[in-house]
Amino acid sequence: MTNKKTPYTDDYKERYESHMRKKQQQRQNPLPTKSDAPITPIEKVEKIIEKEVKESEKIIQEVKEKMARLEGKAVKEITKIEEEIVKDGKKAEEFIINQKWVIIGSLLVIILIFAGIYLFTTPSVKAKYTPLDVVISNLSGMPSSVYFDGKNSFGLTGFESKLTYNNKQDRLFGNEQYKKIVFDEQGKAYSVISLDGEIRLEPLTTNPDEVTKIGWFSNPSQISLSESISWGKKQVSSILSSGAEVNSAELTYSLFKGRPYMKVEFSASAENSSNLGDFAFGLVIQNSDIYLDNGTILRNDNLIATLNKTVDTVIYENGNSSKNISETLENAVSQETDTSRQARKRSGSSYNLNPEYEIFYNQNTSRAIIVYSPESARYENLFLWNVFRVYIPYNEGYSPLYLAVLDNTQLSYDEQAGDWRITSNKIDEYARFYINQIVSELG
Amino acid sequence: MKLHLSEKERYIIEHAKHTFNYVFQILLILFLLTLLVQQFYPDFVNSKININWFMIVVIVFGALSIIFPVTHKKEDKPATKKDLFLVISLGILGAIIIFLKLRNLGWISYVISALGGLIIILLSWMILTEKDGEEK
Repeated sequence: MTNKKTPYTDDYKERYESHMRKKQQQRQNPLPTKSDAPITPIEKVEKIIEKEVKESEKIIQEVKEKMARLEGKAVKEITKIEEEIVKDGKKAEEFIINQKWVIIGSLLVIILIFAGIYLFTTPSVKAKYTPLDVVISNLSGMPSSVYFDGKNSFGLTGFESKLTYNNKQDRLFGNEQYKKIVFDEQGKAYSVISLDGEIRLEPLTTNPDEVTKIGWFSNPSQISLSESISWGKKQVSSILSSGAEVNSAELTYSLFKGRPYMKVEFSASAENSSNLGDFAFGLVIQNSDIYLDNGTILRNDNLIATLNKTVDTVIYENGNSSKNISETLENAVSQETDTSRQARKRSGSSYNLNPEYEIFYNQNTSRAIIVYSPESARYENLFLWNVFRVYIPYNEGYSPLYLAVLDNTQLSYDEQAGDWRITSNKIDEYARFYINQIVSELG
Repeated sequence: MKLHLSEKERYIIEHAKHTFNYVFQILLILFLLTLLVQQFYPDFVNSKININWFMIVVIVFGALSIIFPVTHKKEDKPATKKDLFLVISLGILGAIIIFLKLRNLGWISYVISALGGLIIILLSWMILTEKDGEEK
């Protein structure tokens, strides 16, 4: 046997060990990859993009984490607020349990409101005494309107009322609008009256005051009004004072609550009261026939027709009439009255009678107005003007006038009783009986 | 700005809010009824109450109701036959009232009254049923 050292044994061992060492090194230091090899521009860009993507993903992740944290907080806060709301709601619900206090309080407030409006404010329309009321005024003509159930029914005016004193009869209160005075170019004065069919001019021959101021009283400042209301009774008065010949006069209306009738009284005083004569209550009643105590009916034939022409201006002088007027005079007249209006023609009958009473009956409304005075001398019925006067003689004073207004009334004459039977929703009696009842109640 | 109120103060304020609301509702209904009566009896109404001041008070309480609102619970009730009957009755009543006011105009008053009644019925029904629709 030969101990031959093969030339490969030591070498092999060295080579093996060297190989193993290399391998180990390789493991530790891997062999260069392809990426270590010089990179192309595209690969560079790809690398950059990859890097940026990774960074973005990192940022997104961070943001997500932050958002998650914030969401958690927000949710907590929202939950807190919701809990508070629920709490408040529950508390509020606890407050409305006392509905009784709310209702009582509300009713009290409403009562206070209505009391306040009633006490501290005035209604736009003055309430009318019911069923009858009288509204008097201190306007020229001294008109007074009688209201029935709040609606204007008829009137009693100072202008249509007449008083006799010292055998001279004149209107109780004149109307300043009745007559005017105008002047022509030469300064001549004329009185102007506006009538239905013409405007009448007459030369002024007397004191102008005597022309324009007709009536025992003519200045509205001479009128004073008074009103008193007590339980169940209302009294209104027009008081005239500072008269020239008739020193003072007074018209008093007495109304009673719930009663469809009233009393009107007149009194006057003068220097020599014994010279006072008849006084006529002047009523203005439209669209009514007159039923007399003897069963006669006077039909209202009042007719006002409008003519197809303007009204003429006529001068009456020395018994002659003329339509020739100067321009100056025409202009002066047009300042005082409407000269361009249509002319009218008025017609109607007149009656002077002495019945015991009169009933004014409106066929359209079935309303009856009973007029009565215990000491009436006569009744002057002028359908031409729808003016009706009741003359009362002076006898140390004047007897009152009684007026009754009845709605939805039927009238039938009873020949046997010799009287009108009045049937309404209020009464079913003979006229005389009803009038006696009124007089005994009102005095 | 949140006011920090005591329990008692909040109690009073809540009651006051409900009172304003309640008063406004009652006053509004009374005011509208008064206006309706005034159409037919103007002198009677105008002689009893000054309607201008009444209107001012209603407006004041309306403003208070808006400034201090009350939260109401929503009622999820659908329209019933009773509601329909009420709406139709009110429409007919409205038509009658319109006719009474306009009867002097002649034949056209019938047309206007009928249309008015129809509008009342339709609008009222629309409001009733529209509430149910929004909740769905």
